[in-house]
Amino acid sequence: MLHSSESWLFRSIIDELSRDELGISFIYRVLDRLADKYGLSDAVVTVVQESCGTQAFRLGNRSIDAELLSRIGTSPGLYCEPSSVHEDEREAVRMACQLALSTHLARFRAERDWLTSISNRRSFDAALKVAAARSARYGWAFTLVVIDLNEFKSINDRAGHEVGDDVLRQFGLALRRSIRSGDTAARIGGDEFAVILNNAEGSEASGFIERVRAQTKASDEVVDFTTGTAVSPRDSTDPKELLRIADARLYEKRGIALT
Amino acid sequence: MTTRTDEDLELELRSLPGVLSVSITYGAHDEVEVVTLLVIGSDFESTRSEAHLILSLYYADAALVIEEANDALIQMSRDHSRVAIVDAQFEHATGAVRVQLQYNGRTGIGHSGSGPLIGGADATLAALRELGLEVPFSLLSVNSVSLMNRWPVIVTLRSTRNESDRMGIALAEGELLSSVKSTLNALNRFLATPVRAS
Repeated sequence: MLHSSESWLFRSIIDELSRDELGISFIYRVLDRLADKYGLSDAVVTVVQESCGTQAFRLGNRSIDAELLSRIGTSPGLYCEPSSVHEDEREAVRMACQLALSTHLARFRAERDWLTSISNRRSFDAALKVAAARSARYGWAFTLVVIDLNEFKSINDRAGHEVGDDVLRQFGLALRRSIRSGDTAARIGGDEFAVILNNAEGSEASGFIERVRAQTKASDEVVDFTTGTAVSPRDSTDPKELLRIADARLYEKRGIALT
Repeated sequence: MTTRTDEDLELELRSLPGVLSVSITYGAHDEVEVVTLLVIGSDFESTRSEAHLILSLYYADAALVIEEANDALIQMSRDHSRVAIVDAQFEHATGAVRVQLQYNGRTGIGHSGSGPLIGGADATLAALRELGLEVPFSLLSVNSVSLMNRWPVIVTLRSTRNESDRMGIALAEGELLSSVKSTLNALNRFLATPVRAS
């Protein structure tokens, strides 16, 4: 049975789940709410999650030092100062926080490519749709860059899939290092990548490509790549059309390189 | 101000082996200034380099602070937060019981006049409350049962909030100590949560 003291927690969970926002921020908001409700000066909720192990969250996202840890231990539960929170509510808070962490992790994994940790095709498509819609409505420019690794199959054949996976991982890392905050880098196929460069109308794309090239040169297995770009709204504001244009330009470059 | 990006940064850092806690401090312009990790375990260097890499992918200018808490410290904290029996005395002439407990370096003493069995449990609950621990339970029953020529004590406590019962069983030297240990046993999981009353 749900006690009235915990119903606010239940409502918050439903609210955040419906907005697909249940995550780490929720945990800090719950601690804030508890602090307001009970006049707490400090609170730490400790949860155990299968992938992350034991995780502790402190009121106000304050850091936990070894001294505090030695006082509160690592058992799952809610430590609060003063301890005026009922046991049932403490347990409900711990479970809600554990659910928030697990939900966040599940969402994170659903959005990311398992090998490279950059966005996967699904979240890239969603990001491209949003960027194109903004471009159509407000005229905000962005550049779509599609990237194919050259001769990737031969790396797999020559050095094995483990090395091939490492090349993809390193390339994903190079992309993450080269994009700016707010840009999106994704692995959209086996050795195909795509990047959305916000507020960029073409010339910024060459700077980005140079940064990626510099990053990949530092890798153990140097890998070359070919790019194709499309600029919105200049080329189109339709996501599929933008991808088609960028792909066509990439293949055009490949054709030139092969002749 | 926590954004979705910062949430993901925190999640990635928390996914590293040994990371127990992540704290993000913001600068005057809401920029991520310092990220502090509390790490337990032994391979600090590997965690440190992974954390540096992840942070640099999100915020190249942010500083990383790593606080290390070794396993010994965790063990010490576990021992420290366990309720220990210091002394348990029963006075035959008066039926008075005195139980002394220790928790986090503090001492709590409980008294009862109900003999070693009921008095032992009663005095234990009183001592826990004197330690400042919140114990929302009342004593429901204390029984000494015959088991293969031995006499363990079973203590049942009832929650004052939802009428759920907790049972503990212990066999120690004498009825009094068995009753005290059985009471703590009944509260074991509850007391594992390190929460102190105000």
